[in-house]
Order: sequence, then structure tokens, then C-alpha cells
Amino acid sequence: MIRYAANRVLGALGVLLVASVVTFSIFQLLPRVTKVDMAFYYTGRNTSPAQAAAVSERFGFDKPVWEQYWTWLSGIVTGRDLGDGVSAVHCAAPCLGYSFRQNRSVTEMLVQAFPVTLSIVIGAAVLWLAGGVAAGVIAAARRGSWFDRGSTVISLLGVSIPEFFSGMLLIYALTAGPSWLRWYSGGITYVPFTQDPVRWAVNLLPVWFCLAFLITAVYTRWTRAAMLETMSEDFITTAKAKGLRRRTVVGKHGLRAVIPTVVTLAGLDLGALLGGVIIVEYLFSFPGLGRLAYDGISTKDLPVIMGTTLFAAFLIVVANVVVDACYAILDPRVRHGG
Amino acid sequence: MADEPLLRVRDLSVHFPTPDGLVRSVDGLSFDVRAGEILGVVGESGSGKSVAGKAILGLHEPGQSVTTGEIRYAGRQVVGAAEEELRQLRGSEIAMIFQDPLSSLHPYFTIGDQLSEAYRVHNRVSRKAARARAVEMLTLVGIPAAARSYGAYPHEFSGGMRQRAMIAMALICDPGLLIADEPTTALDVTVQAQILQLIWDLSQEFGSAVVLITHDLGVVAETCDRVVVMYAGRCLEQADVVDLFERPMSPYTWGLLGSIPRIDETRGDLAPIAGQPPSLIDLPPGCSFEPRCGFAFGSCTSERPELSAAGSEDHLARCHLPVPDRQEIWRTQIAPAL
Ligand SMILES: Nc1ncnc2c1ncn2[C@@H]1O[C@H](COP(=O)(O)OP(=O)(O)O)[C@@H](O)[C@H]1O
Ligand SMILES: [Mg+2]
Repeated sequence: MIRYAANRVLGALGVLLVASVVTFSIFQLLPRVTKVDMAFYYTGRNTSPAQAAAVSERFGFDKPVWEQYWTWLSGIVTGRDLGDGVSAVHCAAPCLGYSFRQNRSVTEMLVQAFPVTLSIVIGAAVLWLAGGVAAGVIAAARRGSWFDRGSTVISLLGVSIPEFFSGMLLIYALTAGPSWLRWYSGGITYVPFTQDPVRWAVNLLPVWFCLAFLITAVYTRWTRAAMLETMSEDFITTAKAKGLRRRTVVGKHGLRAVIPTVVTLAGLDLGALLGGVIIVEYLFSFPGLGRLAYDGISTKDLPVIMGTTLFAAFLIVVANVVVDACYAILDPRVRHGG
Repeated sequence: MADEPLLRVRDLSVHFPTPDGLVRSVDGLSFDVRAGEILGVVGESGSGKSVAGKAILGLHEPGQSVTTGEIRYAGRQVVGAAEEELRQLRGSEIAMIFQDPLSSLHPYFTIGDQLSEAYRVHNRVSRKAARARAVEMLTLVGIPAAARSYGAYPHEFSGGMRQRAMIAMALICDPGLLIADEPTTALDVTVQAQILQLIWDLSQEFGSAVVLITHDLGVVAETCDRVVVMYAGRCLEQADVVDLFERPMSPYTWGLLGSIPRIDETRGDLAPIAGQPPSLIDLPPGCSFEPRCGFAFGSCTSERPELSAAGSEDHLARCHLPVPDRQEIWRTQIAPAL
């Protein structure tokens, strides 16, 4: 068991290393391909060639690529000083880069943006898991009923309406719609949990619904299919033959069998979403990781793009490890190494 | 017969409407099981044995099947009974075990939990009392270190141990009738005899009647009091076990007898019955065995034979051949060749 866990963590570190190489290469090599000096990505367009050369030398863009990579990577672990001795900035570990455009370390930006994304994703996950799994189980248990048909239609709507469309409608209705719907006439802004938990939740509610709508639809369809498959298993026949109530057969024996896979799915989705929910964060102007990445891309702020990308990769890798651990806890056959 | 048998099945039909047509899995089946008796139900794969067995517990979903006829357990009608009434019968009065104990046990619950649950659903007892009862049952079926095995998961048991646990679970509420659907088919040959012996011993100890479903006449010969021979959803012959083996009165039974491997096999050629069972959607208008029968004549193709006395009052067979002719054929042609 310990050996297994150690193997998994080592594997995860390996994947992260590969991710760092890929991230580094893409963003370091791109300027070479497009023949735009690296320095421009750091300082902005209105830079004279002389200034650019100075910047290049200062940050070591003239050094070999592998050396730059090593400096960048070791900076993550030990922190690093950027620039020459005169106007150096210290970027404390874990240093994921420093944006001279904004004069802030990328790590600092990530730390500030992550709670926003976390707030959005966790709340939405509660909604989509509760809603999707419950609806899927009921739809499967009452196959062909009005509930089953209705949830099928709503799910299809859910997966076919793009987020930005439903999100825009929602924002419009809640902030500028008819007076009985204008619950957020003051606008929907992010309020940190530590500042005001009630306003945090109230203002996040529409964001949660907007994000959860589509995913709930997916989870409903998926849970329904998994439950239908499970309900034809032999152990379900056994459960019925024991004289268990239908509620117990479906809600205990049936549901228990699909939970490990639901958890896997949810874990991977969480890992992917925690790296930033670009569309939703953009729509609602919430300063999360998605928004950070979007702004980084639109201003060509290279250190920010690299930092958010690597952090997103890190979250996905962590999610995979966590999912594996959950699976081992939830499935005794895996737990016993069977 | 004045005294009512424990289980009385009359003209039982279980039909499944499918896109291809109506599947007549069981069609006009009648038999009795007396208290404490072991009834064998034999027939080739697909002859409707499992479907009939599940019908006794009312396990076929009403929406997907049509069950007609009479199944009367201790005076109570099962066909058409309310779900709650059936539920109280299942497990407490009539229990069932299945072919594959691995897929029939829930993979994510411990053996002990599954046993306790079966006990608690029909008995108002504490968890502790249910646990004690479960351990007692596990000991009774010969599971070593029962108290420790209580917390084991099904995958940690061997096939034979799993079937023992299934038997323990089936008998935990002391039912009057146990339906064992091919309980040894999925097991190693070496443990098959042990499991049969266990079922026999426990049925004696608990005074339970057993319906033993099998495709193996050898098993029937060793274990059963009476035998029902099924073919294409119908009973072709039923008799006391000695009678059936000494004076079988249906060409289908002769065929089955011819396909039993024997210890003193000198010729070494096993002769399965030539041909395939008929489609249950398009049954022949006459005798369902006629297409494969070596003794068919005129009316066999057009007229369905009735189940009628053949030799003695409780030896019934469904065949157009006159009884004396069949006795003659058996004595002169079939028996000597076996
Ligand atoms: N739910 C169902 N829908 C349609 N056909 C079924 C269903 N269950 C069983 N059958 C058919 O009924 C026939 C008898 O099956 P079964 O009772 O399992 O045979 P066996 O004698 O081997 O136990 C088979 O041909 C099977 O395909
Ligand atoms: Mg069967």
C-alpha cells in the first residue's frame, strides 16, 4: 500500500516535470519561431531594440535554453533573484515567474486568484453532484416515467446551450431584468469568504448555477446510464431476493456500486476546473485563475501564462492522485491489490 | 391429495415481450413441492429453469414481463401479489441462491454486512444480534474463523466459500423453501460435491424444501426426491427420482440420460442430443421436442401432447407415443445402450 502510494506520487512528479518542460518549451520557443524578441513579451511593445537587448541580457534570454529552463525550474523550488544586482527583485519560492508588466510575482497572483476559482468550483460541484446524481438515480429507478423523460429533455438543453449564452441571460435577468427578478441590482461581484461569508455565498450563487447547469446535465445522463447498467447486475437480483425494500435496493446496493466511478469523474472534473473556469469567470468578472490566464494571454504577459498553465497542470496531476486514492478507499478489490 | 403442498405451481407462464416477438420462456408449467422435499428441475440451457425459479419469488419486473397462472406458497398466491407482500415473502419464506456467487454478492459490502442485512430486513433485532446470527450461519456452512470472515469482502473468498456464504445468507431467516439455481455450475469440480452435500445437509437440518435447478442429471440422481424435466419452457416429464431413472417415459429424458458422463464409461463417447432447442418466439405447433425426436410420428408435428400419467399416477410425461410402446422402446433400445 505504501509502496503503491509512493509509486503514484513519484509518477505524478514525473508527469509534472514533463508538463514543465512542455510549458517552458512552448513559451520559450514560440518567440523564436515568430521572430519576436523575448524581451517584448516581458516589457511591452514600445521597447527600443537597445532596451530589448538590455532586458535580454538582464534576464538571461541570451543564455542556452536548457540553462534558462534550469534557472526557471530551480526557481520554483528555491526562489530566485531576477535582474542584475542593481535593480534586482527577489521572487520567493515557489517562484513561478515574475511579471514586470505588473511588477508582481506570478505566485502572488495565483495565490490571490485561486480562492476565487476554488469558491466557484466547490459550490458548483456540490450543486452538480447533488443534482446530477440524484436526478440520474431517480430517472434510472423510474425509467420511462415523466421524471425520466423530463430530465432527459432538460439534460439535452443543458449540454446544448453554451455557457456564455445561459450565463449572459442569467446576468442580464438578475441585474437588469424585470424588477421581480432583479435580485442583484447592485451587480454580482466576488466577495472573499473571510470578509463576508453571507455575501460570498449570495454573490456566488448565480455563478454556481451557471457553471453547474451544464455539468449537472452531463452527470444526470451519466449516472442514469451507470445505474441502469448496475440494476441488471446479479447482486441487485440477490438484493431483491433477500426481500430488501426497493428503496434499499436502488439507494444502497445500486448507488454504492456507481459511487467509485462518480467520484473518479468528479475528481478529474474538479482538477480540470480548478485550474480556471475561463468563460464563467470572464462573464461574471470574477478574478479567478481563468480570468488571470485570459488576461495573461490577451496582454501577452508570458510569465503569467506559464505560471497559470503549470499550476493548472499541477492541479490536474494532484486530482489524479487524489482520485486514485479515493478509488482505493471506495473499492475494496483495489484496496487489497486484487 | 388432501393436504396442500408447500408450493403449488399451476399452468405458470412467463412471457417477455421483445422487439422480436413474445418470448415464451415458461409456458404452462405445473408442479408441486412438498415441505422438506428436494425437487430437481433439469433441462438444457435456455429451457426456462431460471425464469421459472425467479417467478416463484416474483422477481420479474411486471413492466417487462407477463406472468400468468398460479404460484401458491403455503396458501398464498404469488402471481399478481402486491410488491410489499412479495417482499415479505422473499428471503424470509422463500430464499434463492444463484449460479455465480461472485457476481451475486455485492463487491463493495462485506460478507457479514450482507448477511446481517438479510436477517435484519425480516427480523426486528439489534445490529449485534444480527451479527451474532450471521457468524452462527457462517460457522454452520463451514466457513473457517467465521468471526473474522464476517469482515471479509467477497473477492477475498474462494468460489466455494462464496457459495457457502450465499447459502448462509439464504438460510439466515430459516425459509421454508430454498431455490438453488445451478448452485455448483460455476464452481470447481472438486467443490461441487461439497456444496451439494451442504445444501442437502442444511435442508434436512432446517427442514426447508429445495428446488434444485440444474442441467446435470447426475446431480439430480444424488440429491433429489422428485424431478421435473423442462424443455423449451414446458415440463416434458416429472416423476419420483427412482422412477425417472428406472423408467423414463419421455424421449427427451432418454436423450438427457444419454448425455450423462459415467464413471464406468467404456465407450467414451458422450452423445448430446442432436439439434438445437426451438426458438421460444416461434414454438412448433405440436410437441416442442418433435424436431429433435427420433421417435416422432404423424400427430407429433401438429398436436401438442398433454402431460399425462405414464406408468403410475404421479409419473407424468408429455408424449404422443402410447405408454406401452415407450416402455418397450426404453427396455429394448435405450436402456441397453446406456
Ligand atoms: N428478461 C428476458 N427477456 C427476454 N427473454 C428472456 C428474459 N429472461 C430470459 N429470457 C429467455 O428465456 C429463456 C430461458 O432462460 P433461462 O430461464 O435463463 O434458461 P435456463 O433454463 O438456462 O435457466 C432464454 O431463451 C432466455 O433468452
Ligand atoms: Mg439458468
